[in-house]
Parts: sequence; C-alpha cells; structure tokens
Amino acid sequence: MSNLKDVTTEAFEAEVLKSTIPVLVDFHAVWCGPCKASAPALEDAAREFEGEIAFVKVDVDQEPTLAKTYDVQGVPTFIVMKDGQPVERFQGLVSRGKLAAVLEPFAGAGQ
Amino acid sequence: MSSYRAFGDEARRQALIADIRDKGPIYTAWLTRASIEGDISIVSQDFGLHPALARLLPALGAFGEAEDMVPFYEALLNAIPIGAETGGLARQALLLAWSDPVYGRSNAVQHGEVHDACEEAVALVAQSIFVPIDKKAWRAARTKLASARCDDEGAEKAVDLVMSLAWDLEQAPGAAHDVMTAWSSAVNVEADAFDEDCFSAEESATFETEMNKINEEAMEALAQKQSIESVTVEDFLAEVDKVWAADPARNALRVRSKARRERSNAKMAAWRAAIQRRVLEIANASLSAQTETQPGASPAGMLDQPRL
Repeated sequence: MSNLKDVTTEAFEAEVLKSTIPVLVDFHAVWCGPCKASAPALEDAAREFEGEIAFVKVDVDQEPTLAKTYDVQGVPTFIVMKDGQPVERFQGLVSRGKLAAVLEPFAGAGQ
Repeated sequence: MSSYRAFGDEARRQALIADIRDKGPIYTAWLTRASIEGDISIVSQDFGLHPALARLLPALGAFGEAEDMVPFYEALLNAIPIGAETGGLARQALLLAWSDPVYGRSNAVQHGEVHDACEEAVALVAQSIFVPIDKKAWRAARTKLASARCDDEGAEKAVDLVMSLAWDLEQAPGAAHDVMTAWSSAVNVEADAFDEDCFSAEESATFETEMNKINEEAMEALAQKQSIESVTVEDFLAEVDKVWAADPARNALRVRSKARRERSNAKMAAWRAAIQRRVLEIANASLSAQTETQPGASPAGMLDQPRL
C-alpha cells in the first residue's frame, strides 16, 4: 500500500499546514513520466522517515488552487513544509539520494 | 543477506536467458526503460535474482538503447550458480561506482571531511554484503554526509551518488537504479566536459537557439504539406535534417554537435564495457565459492518481500 496520501485543497490545512511534523508535498500529475518514475523513491523515503516526516501528494490538475498558491510551474515539484511554511523546494525526477540529502536535516539524525 | 536464491534449477536459468536473447516479455518489461516505472518483481519472484541486482542490470545495459547487451546478460546469468544469493553481487557491483580505479567517483572528491563521510557510507555498503546493517547506522551515515556537503559541483555529484548508495538494499533495492543513474550521468558530464571540441558558452547558446528555430521551421514546413496529426517522428526528423542542411552556416554547428555526441556515446560505451567486465569478474570470483546446494536453492524465489 502506498505511504503517500493524496491530499485535497480542503484537507491541506489539517494534513499539511497544521502537521506537527515536517511534510514533503509532492505536486504531481497523472500524465507526468518523471512523477511516476519518482514514485518508488518517494515510497522508500516515506517508509524510511515514517513518524518523522509526512509525505503527501497533490494532483495539480485536481487541485489547481493549491498549485497556484505554491507557484507550481512544473511537475513534479516537491515542497518541504514545516510549521505551515515552505522551507525547501525542488523540481524534477528525484532519487533516494536527493531525498535523503534534503530530508535528513528535517528528520533529526538517526532518530 | 536476503533469502532470494538464483533460478531454482538450470531450466529456469535457460528460460530467462532465452527470453533475453529473444527480447521477449521479461526482457521488455525488465531490461528497458519500462523498468523504471514498472514492477519488475517477477525477476525476483520467478527467477530468484535479488531485487537490487534486478534494478541494477537495466541501467548497466543502457536500458537496451545502446550496444547489444545480450551477450553480457547471458555471460552474467551463466556465471551465477544455481541457488546463489545475488544481493552481495549487486552490492559489490554498486561499490564500483565509488571505488573503481578509472571510473569510480572517489577520484572526484578531494580528501577531507566530505571524502571521509563518503568512505564511511561506502564502508557500510561493504559490510552489508556480510551482515545486516541497522537502520540507524544508514541514517547516521547519510546525516553525516548531508552535513558535510561542499560547494564543489563535481564533488557534489559524487556525494549525491553516495547518498543513493547509502540505503539498505533489502528495504530499498531501487537505490541500485539511483546509483547507476547518478554514475552514468557523472560519466556523461565528464565525457562532454573533456571533449576535444567543446562548445564555448556562446556557441552552446547559439546552437540551442538555432535548434529551436529549426524545429519550428520544420514543423511549419510539414504543416503546409500534411495535417499536424499525421506527422510522425520520422517525418519530423527528416524535415529537420533538410532544414539544417539547407543552411551550411548553421549546419556547421550541428555537424560539430553530432560528432561530439558520437564521441561521448563511445566514451559511455567504453565505461559500460569496463564495468560489465568488472561485474563479470566479481560474479566469477565471489559466486563460484557459493555452493549450489544451499538451503532454499530450489525453487527459485524468496521468503521475504522487499519492495521494488
């Protein structure tokens, strides 16, 4: 089962903005090849950081308001949210190495 | 060490080799770009190859898009004894990305804090060939690497590679694909950078601008002859060739660009051939020691189910 939960505009506040732990938001689209190719790495990272960082997906075609709010110009775009604020963002096909490099500082060493 | 055991019996091995030779269903799902997004768990479930090895091999064979890789795959599969555990082979092969004397990325990182952090992560991978490594140890190695990152762009790419290397392949076998992607990308960048006929920044910008213009001109020309919907990739490429050839001044840049690409491709092919040789050597040296009658040797497959 996927560790990445799909989040709607309505649920975004509760799931992301009010989250007590950092959240990686994956802005994706169903037609996007790099989004699909990034999915296994995201699943592995979600499992690795379980309880420390939450992982959610936002379909930009289904949730254009969120995409606009966060100025998503292309997919996949990843935004790390902490205390309701974006603190890191990156775009494009993502590897486990890239995810680890970005997320380890937010997760706390060897927790 | 996983409980995957190769093939189960000689007939299964030969069935896999035959499929690869014929570029059949397993080949097309496994050894091509389809594998990147796809589920290739059948390679582990039905043929007992460790998921990390299954993820490594498509990239090592350029996803079937370059040279003919069938002889390499056949030689490798024939080198793996029936019932062998292949996770160690995958790990040893991936370690080449750091330690190979010619192509390993170790050379790209100056000695110091970052290099030491990389070495620590690499040491964990080497240990994991023999013993399971605790999740906290992987995390600590990555955290150290993340905090030791430097500004040198060449080193940064090598650190990215080691960051992908520093995952437990029992839990995240897809990291093997990430390592190979990072490695081939680094080799490709290096091949371009050291080309005998590098474009200047100005030439690169001019070439990109002209290429975009010519692509548009080609589409316009085709649109006058046929409906846009009926334009095939072949039509488009043929028209692009015509437009370039019609302008010798612009075409000179393209000729140089194509020659560069060919030289770069040749360097990539040399890298792949060298690494394939090393992987075969490792397989022959390390796997031949494994007995063919290990517990669980038959049938092929697995007892646990790491995700692919």
